[in-house]
Amino acid sequence: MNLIQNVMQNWSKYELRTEIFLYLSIIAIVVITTYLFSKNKKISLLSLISLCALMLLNFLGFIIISSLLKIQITEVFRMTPVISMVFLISNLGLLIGFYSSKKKMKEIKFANIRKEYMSDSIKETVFLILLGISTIFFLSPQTEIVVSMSILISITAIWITYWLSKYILK
Amino acid sequence: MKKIRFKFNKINWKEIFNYFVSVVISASILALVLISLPLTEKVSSSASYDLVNKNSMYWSKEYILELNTSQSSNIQKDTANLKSVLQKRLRNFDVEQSSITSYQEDDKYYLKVEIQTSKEQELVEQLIKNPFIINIVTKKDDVNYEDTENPLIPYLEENYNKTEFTRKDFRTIYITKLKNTSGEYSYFGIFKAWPLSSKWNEFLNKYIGQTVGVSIDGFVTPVQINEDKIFAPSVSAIDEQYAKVTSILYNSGVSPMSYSTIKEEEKPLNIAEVDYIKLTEGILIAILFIYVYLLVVEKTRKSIILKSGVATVLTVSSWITYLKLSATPVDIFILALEVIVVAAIIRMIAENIDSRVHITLLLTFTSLLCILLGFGYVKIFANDLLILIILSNLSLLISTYYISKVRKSLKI
Repeated sequence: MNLIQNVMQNWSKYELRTEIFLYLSIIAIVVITTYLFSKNKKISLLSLISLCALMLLNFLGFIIISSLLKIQITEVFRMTPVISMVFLISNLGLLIGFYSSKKKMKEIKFANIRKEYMSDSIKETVFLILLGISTIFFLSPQTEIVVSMSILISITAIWITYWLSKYILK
Repeated sequence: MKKIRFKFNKINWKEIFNYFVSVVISASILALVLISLPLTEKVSSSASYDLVNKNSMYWSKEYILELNTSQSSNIQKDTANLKSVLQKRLRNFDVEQSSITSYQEDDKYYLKVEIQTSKEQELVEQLIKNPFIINIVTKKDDVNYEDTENPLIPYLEENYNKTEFTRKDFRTIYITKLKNTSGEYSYFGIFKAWPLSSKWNEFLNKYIGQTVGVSIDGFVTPVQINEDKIFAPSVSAIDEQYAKVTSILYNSGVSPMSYSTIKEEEKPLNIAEVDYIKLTEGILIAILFIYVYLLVVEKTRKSIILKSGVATVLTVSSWITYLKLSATPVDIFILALEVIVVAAIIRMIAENIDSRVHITLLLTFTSLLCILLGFGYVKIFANDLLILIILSNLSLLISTYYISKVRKSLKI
């Protein structure tokens, strides 16, 4: 409880409510859009779980930053969930796009889709790592923490999604 | 006599057109890159432009508010509600950073409000310092409101009877410009009661043709109730910004208790400082480094690397050019985050054409939600991201077209 209070220090009820509502709305709209594109409940479920995992990872990230690394969570850190969400949603978009194209051609084999998804995820991971490393020397320490944290969380969430896809997309 | 015949080879207009288009696009890309680079404005004296860094516009202050808890039955709950009201006001005014802490000292309750923003200080202070507690009041029979020796009488709450009506009895208070008694337009607040509020209608009917008042923090604005029964006190707003602040004060919740500002102190700025010149150079080197690496490892087709590379340069340079030419104040660290995010998005949509529509739509919805429900830096970032998503898709189309035309022209 103390850890949570540390992260949420000084937050008013209004901020807490609006922040929760914002992320729940994003998750809801992404899951609904995913279903409308794919017409597949399994992919929508995978999107839902991966977005929830991402939010959990962000929260853990804040706890680590605040409690273990003793870095004050300022307003700038509120960018981390948004940036990591953008990366993860793009990754989910790759999966949906590939699934939709295969669906049109009536060649749906989840094993093939997962294989393609893995290849795309590897490329995205490599690109994000390169982007993170190459900008490390040019950004202020605070901005670099936000970028590194967003990239790390996104990559972890992407690979959690891939791992979950083995069980959900059968 | 022999006729002289000139023989023309058939001109390939299509090729000439392709060549011309390639030249125009190349020149445009070059111009955008040059304008977006730092300090290039110094090359030409005919144009004056540079990125407007928001850092110089920021100020930071701390305010201590002493709470009047004498009327409060649940101090903890009322303090939490007051924090929410103040935070909602600041968020609605797009204040970038604000933090409110409550504490107790010698049986007195306080709120510490810390602000760091680029918004106008006077307007932000109005949002913090005014409890904005509203009461509808009626005239007392034994008070002479036309006493010329004491002109303040009509404006002091103690000279009026309080009614049961407070801010909670109204759905919204709409600030708009209406014609005043001298025929000029000025700002008024139209009080819109909850539907089926019969008590309010009865009140208006009872006082038709008479003057009542709206007391805000003890200061009364007289209101004449006419036949049309529109309850609209005048608002002391000189321009649109002041009117916006008044609207926020009226419509961001009800302060559960009054308070007074007992201390205010300037604070040192805590900004994520980023050197714009170093950053631009760094990002250019980073993008170049990544694309060279991708070319070397040969895991992606060269055409895709080229396409996404050109699209990234085009998107980033046109965005920075727009910011420079429009003199839009920019948080440099947000610009850095935007460039990093957009470079990753372009890379993904360039390689996966099947997913372009899906990624674009999903990110558009996410940005729209962040604009509608987010605040501070998140809102600024989402606003820019929405434009960048459109820009990056356009850049991808242009770069695909451009590369194919150049290839045709050069017969590669």
